Amino acid sequence: MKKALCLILAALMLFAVTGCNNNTASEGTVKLGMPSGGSVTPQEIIDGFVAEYGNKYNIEIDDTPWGEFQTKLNLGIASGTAPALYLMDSGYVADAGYAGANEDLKPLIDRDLNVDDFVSAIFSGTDANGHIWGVPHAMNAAVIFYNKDLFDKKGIEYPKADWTFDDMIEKAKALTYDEDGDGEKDFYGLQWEKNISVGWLPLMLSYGLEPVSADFTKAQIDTPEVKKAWDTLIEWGEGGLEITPRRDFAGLYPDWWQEKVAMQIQQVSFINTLEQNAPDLNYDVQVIPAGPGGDQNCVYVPNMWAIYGRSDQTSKDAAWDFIKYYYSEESQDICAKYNKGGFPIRKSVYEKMGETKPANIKGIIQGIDDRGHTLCEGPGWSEWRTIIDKAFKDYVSLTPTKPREQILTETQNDVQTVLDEANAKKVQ
Amino acid sequence: MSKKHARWSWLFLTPFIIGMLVFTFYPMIFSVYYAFCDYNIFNPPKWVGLANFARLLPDPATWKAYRNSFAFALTYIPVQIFLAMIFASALNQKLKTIGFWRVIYYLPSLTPWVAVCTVFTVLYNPAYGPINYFLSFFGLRSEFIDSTNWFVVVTSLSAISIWKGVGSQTIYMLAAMQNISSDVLEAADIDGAGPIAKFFKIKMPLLTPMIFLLLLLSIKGAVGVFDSFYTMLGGGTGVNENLTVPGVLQYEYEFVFRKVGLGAAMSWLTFAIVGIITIIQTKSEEKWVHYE
Amino acid sequence: MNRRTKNLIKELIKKTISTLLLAAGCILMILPFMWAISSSLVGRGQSFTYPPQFFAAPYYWSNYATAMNELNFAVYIKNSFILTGIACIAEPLASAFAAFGLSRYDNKMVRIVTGVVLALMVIPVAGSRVPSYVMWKNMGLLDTYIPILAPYFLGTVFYVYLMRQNFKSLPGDFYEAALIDGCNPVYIFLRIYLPLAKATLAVVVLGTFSHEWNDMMGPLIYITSKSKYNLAIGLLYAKGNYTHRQEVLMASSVIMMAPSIIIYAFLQKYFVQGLASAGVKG
Repeated sequence: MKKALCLILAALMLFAVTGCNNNTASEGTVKLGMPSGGSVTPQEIIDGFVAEYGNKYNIEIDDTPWGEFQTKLNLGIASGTAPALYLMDSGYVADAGYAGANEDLKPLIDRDLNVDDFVSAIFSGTDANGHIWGVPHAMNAAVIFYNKDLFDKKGIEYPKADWTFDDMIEKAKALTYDEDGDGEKDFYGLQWEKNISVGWLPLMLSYGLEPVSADFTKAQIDTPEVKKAWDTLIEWGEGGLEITPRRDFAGLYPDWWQEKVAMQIQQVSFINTLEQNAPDLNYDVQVIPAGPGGDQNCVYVPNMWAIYGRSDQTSKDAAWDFIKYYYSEESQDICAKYNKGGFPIRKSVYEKMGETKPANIKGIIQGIDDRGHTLCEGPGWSEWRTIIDKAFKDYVSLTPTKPREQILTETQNDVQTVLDEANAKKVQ
Repeated sequence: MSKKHARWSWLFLTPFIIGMLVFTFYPMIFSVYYAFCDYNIFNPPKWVGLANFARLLPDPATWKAYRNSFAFALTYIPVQIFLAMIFASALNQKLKTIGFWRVIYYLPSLTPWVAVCTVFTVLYNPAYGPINYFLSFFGLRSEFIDSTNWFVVVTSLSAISIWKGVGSQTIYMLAAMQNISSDVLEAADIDGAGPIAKFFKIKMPLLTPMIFLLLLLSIKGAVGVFDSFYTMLGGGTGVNENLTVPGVLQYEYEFVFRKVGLGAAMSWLTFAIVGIITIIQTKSEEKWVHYE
Repeated sequence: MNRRTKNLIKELIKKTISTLLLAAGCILMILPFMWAISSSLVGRGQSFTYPPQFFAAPYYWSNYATAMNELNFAVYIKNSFILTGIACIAEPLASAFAAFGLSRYDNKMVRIVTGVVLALMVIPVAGSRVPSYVMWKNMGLLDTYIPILAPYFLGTVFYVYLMRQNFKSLPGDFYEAALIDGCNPVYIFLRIYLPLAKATLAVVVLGTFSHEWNDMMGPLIYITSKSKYNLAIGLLYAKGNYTHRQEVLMASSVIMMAPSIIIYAFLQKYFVQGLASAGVKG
């Protein structure tokens, strides 16, 4: 028995050492961070790059599940071992750039890319001083998904690009009803979210409001206009339109694809979820309607490719080669085909684009190009947006934990503190 | 024990001491240092003295987190230990099916948190959830983790921890019960003690060391609760201040806000609070824990 | 009625009540698993129907095939077995080794280490991950299993405590006698005390198993190649962000739980024997 145990132990040890030690980081290895590998960046592109540049660089792909990638990246940056290339939440890009963690891509873009080939979003990682700390992986825009069958059933006209909040509410009211007469609603017209990208930010922008001033020095939360904007969601809720309290499952929104809800605000990456879960759904997308003052917006999240500023020159070259490869016409066409995490940024893709599902993708691209708005990324972003996330959730709930006026005042102060602190650091 | 051989203790203890120094104390020293620093991971840590603590202590979020943690512990610990004792007593009846039960009860302990959270998010869902569907036959309904009452949310989550942990606690309790020598119980039988009297007068005191141990461990577990709160309440957009727990706050500070110093300070605050509770418990130990 | 029959009836009642009680608890314990299995068998997008479906035909076993093939689970399963296997052999030996030192000797160092063990066991001590990470990086051991497994070779506080308790309860006479016979302490530990501590060793093996099998943080931090990840990370891939399918995630969870359940069912036989033999001590 004991001998057997020893043998097993020895065999396992051998496994641990030989089976797993074959590519310890050697000199000249270039590490590229690809969160969730092929399910975020099409595998064809990763493989294609390795095939083309495998002779030039000793490439190692750091593939980490999406949700945990930022955690691992933190550790890598703190210990100076981050991959040469990584995807970064757009909100961190500026902070990381100022701190020297991200390389300034401006000179590289000027040198190697013809910016006319790209939509304006390519510059969304630019800071106030003209540095570019990251370039978009894709544009994940917030749009209204609508179920054509539910619209047809009630004979209601589909939303048009120039629609307004009033149109949306009118349609939503007509589409919220009790079919079997049991006194409980069976169908809902509209589902709105509560987080930044598909919740309070598009809402506020529709009212012509920005949460912070353009130079990121002042919080702009505790104003009568903001109160009015935020109250909108409560009014909808009281009107029985909004059913977000049904907790969402990891971005799945089953209510929507099970055809219980007619309109749903969501990011375009939701198309992937629909393809996976309800491939036959008859739906389309439309831009977010114009608010009461006529302000219309198209909020998009550009998660960023960034180059680790503290890696060696070979690694930086390799990382930039990857970005160029990713932005090549061939790769961007692949991106358009799989549509992972939003729309590609090369214009030629849209010139070539034929029929799409959902049909109105071109309309959304047009929307982004006309009035695209990112998530107000700037100093202290991750902190103040979490503060507003929480405050907004509390504010619009049926039983807020404190008076709503007080929520606004406290949020104003908290956000201001964060901005002051972050800006003070920037000056140093 | 012969003095001469005491030097052998070095041989036995050196690997373990090295392990503790490298894997516990070395990271701990850094964590203590960071607690007094402003550290955003991009730049080297900068000494700021007690600023992190000065920010945490007056923050209502901190104390709401501890309140929730306390409420969690108050529901989780007694129920779990009580259930573990009942199940262990039942298992201790020399049943032929003991192997089967032991497997069933231990199953939840073997389940990863990722899977547990996924399953319970569906089970608890007020709209589709099977639990509410079952309750609807009795005209009952609960919002569980969607409730606006923080206590309902916290107890819903502590129920998951009880479900997951009761099996292993039962096994420990069973081990303690099997260690009670049959002489003692036979002596009680001869004295004509009834089963209930036998349990409280004889078994219970002999089980107190195990109960004490489980109590201490559960407190650490209850204060460290993270996965269920973070995954089931936050879903990536931050956990409501009313529902947060220290583990979640600490994670947010460290990984979302990238304020490593604040996160470290929070964890040392937790350390201090649990430390105090543990000292109080250890002092009370001699009052109710009976060692043979 | 004689005393024998009376006792038999009493035993029978006790056993019946116990079985009923255990059965009731069992239902609560097992229902979430049944739910997981049931929802791993539904068709595309059918996970969220109301009223809830419980094992309603047809069964889509293809969800398991999807998990195994598209998510590459075979590789993760192999890695999980390697990691868990090594940990389960190293941890009990290392912990028992240290525990023997703590239980059989008494000097200042032993008392200090014992105190530290007791404190660390019950108080949550914080630690930064950065220094260990840098240490392993400097040793060139990132992307190997060594950083994940090394702690198991040196002993873990809680298991050292458990083993120490067990060794303490064993008589010291064996030790003295064996010394007089000219045996060295390591031999005494391996041949006399370790076999007597089987029950606790089984507890340690089991605890280590479920810890390492479900360990997500270690591989996440130290491993970069996808081919070296374990199942816990595989499950995170199943949770993916743009490709989430609830029924495939459920199937993946069931796949992840299955081996540990089988191994536990197998181990617990020894567990019972071990506990029974542990009844001798005291």
